[in-house]
Amino acid sequence: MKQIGEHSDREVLKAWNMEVYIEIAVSTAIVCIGELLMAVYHVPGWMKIILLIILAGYIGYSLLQFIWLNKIKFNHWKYHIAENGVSHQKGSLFRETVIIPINRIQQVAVKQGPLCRKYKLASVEVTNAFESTEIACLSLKKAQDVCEEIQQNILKLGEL
Amino acid sequence: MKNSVVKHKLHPVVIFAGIFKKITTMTLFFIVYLALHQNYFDRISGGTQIFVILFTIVGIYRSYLYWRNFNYSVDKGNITIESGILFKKIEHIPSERILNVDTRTSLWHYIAGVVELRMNTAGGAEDKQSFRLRALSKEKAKQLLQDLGHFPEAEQVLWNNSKKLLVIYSFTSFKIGFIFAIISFFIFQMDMLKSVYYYNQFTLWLDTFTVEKRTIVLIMMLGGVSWLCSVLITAGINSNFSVLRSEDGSLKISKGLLNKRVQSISLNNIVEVRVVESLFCQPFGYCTVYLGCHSGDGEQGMSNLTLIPLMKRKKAAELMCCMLPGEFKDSLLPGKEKKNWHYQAKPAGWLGYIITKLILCMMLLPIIYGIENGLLLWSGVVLGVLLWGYVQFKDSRISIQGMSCTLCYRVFNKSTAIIHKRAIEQLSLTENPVQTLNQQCSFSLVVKTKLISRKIRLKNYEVFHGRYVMKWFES
Repeated sequence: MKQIGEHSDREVLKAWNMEVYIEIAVSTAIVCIGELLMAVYHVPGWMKIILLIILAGYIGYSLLQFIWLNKIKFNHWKYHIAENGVSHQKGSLFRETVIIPINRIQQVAVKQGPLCRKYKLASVEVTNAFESTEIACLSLKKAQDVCEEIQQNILKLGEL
Repeated sequence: MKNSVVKHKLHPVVIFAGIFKKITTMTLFFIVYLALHQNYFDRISGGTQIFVILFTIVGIYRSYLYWRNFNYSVDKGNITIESGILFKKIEHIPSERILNVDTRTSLWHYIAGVVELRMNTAGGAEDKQSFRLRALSKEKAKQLLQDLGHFPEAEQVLWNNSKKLLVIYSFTSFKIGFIFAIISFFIFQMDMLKSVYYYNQFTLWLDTFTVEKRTIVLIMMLGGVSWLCSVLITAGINSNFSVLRSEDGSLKISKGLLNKRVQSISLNNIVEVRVVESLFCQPFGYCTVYLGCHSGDGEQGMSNLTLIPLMKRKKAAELMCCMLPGEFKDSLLPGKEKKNWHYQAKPAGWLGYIITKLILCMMLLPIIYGIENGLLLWSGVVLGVLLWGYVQFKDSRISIQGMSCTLCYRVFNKSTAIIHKRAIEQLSLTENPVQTLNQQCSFSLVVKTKLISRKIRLKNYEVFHGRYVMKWFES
């Protein structure tokens, strides 16, 4: 297998940042509902403070993601499809490199969520007998090409 | 001209065996039903009696049809099995695809003088990997195996489990969880025992304790009974345990007291060998050896295929050298010497692990238990974590030779696994921020055999160790 080389699409950064906005909005909404319920049921004040601290921490981490971590994630994000296997490198603070030999792949699929559809992105899901690994946030065209390439490699291996 | 192939039938005893099994299942079902409904043994209605009679008649007829429609034949070394009552099925199995053959003799087989043959292949869906011939006379079974050209008579005895080892293994296996659950279930459902004198005496004795003490006494007694049952069951399963080698090099594992079982395993089917030193056996230098195969069955409800139940750890490498295929021999159990292992976990990483755990305990324990008790507990935890961390670090090693790698790791039991590349599904390398700073990484290997898929994690290795392992896996 060759060295990991291919980079993600630049559009991905926008999608990841949008993910951060949505996460902040949802978590703020949840905390607001929580605070409201606490006020109704006369929950002790220190619990409200803990909830606010958690929210502040989460928003802080999300901002860190927005300013710094997403860029690191983007620079570190790589994948490579070779004749004998698929390798994928991902993560910002917690990094992971996964290698799956081509003869262990059971299933390949292209997936698209609502956010990915907006930015014309897609993910390739590679499944082996144990778990699935997702090569996320490729352009739709690239994802289809990757899927096809993996299928071709599997077929080639079968012919051998 | 059409070749005339002789079609063979199963032994007719299979008709009665089928219904015997059904009645056993039904009896178990009734016991559970009656236990749940507080022993209304005398209230079995006339309808239920008719149901039982009908069930038996239909069962016997169905078993007869199964026997009548079941044929097998051997042609040019390949076996053809025809079966099915309403939906007919014809299966052709090329003999070279058969990787394991199990010969089982349960109590009813023993009484009728027959054996059951199970053949396992590697390909296909899970349910299509195993083919069963439920009752064959011993001569027919021997003839069939000869015709298939597989697994000739065993010649060399490689291992015989002594009575002393069997006793130690039975007492230290501690497979009590399942038995404990069953006994507890029945104890709490058996209201019928209320009229039994000894039961009443026992409950009166229990009532003399406080609730807490009563619970402890009950758990201890149940645990003790379960342990005794576990000892008896383990001894029954593993008595007469021997490993033999056939002319073609394949292994034959023979075991069992009432339910005898002979498993033939071809060497190219073996993809993993695991030597496990359990907490109880380790101080005495004993270990258990398990095999991982591409196909085949384990013990019922177990995820392992035991090669040797108990043996001296020192002798394991030497013995397995005689048993295992050549590709494993290079990487067989490098021993304790550091020079024999390629990579070992970095002490700095483990120091980090210990410090993190200690800080966590320091913060949490005083909060939960108050400052005085918390500090007392904390000092106890310090010793525990130091010992745990040291043992985890000491036993984490990797060695790579040819097509297989040897991993040594510990959760509670210490395991040394020799894994062929064929069995590794996926390799992952992970780094957390602390590891990135110290140029360290952790490995995760997904190992898949027929019986189980599991993830082995090895923490805190140098990054270049990780790259080397990746290169080995990719090549």
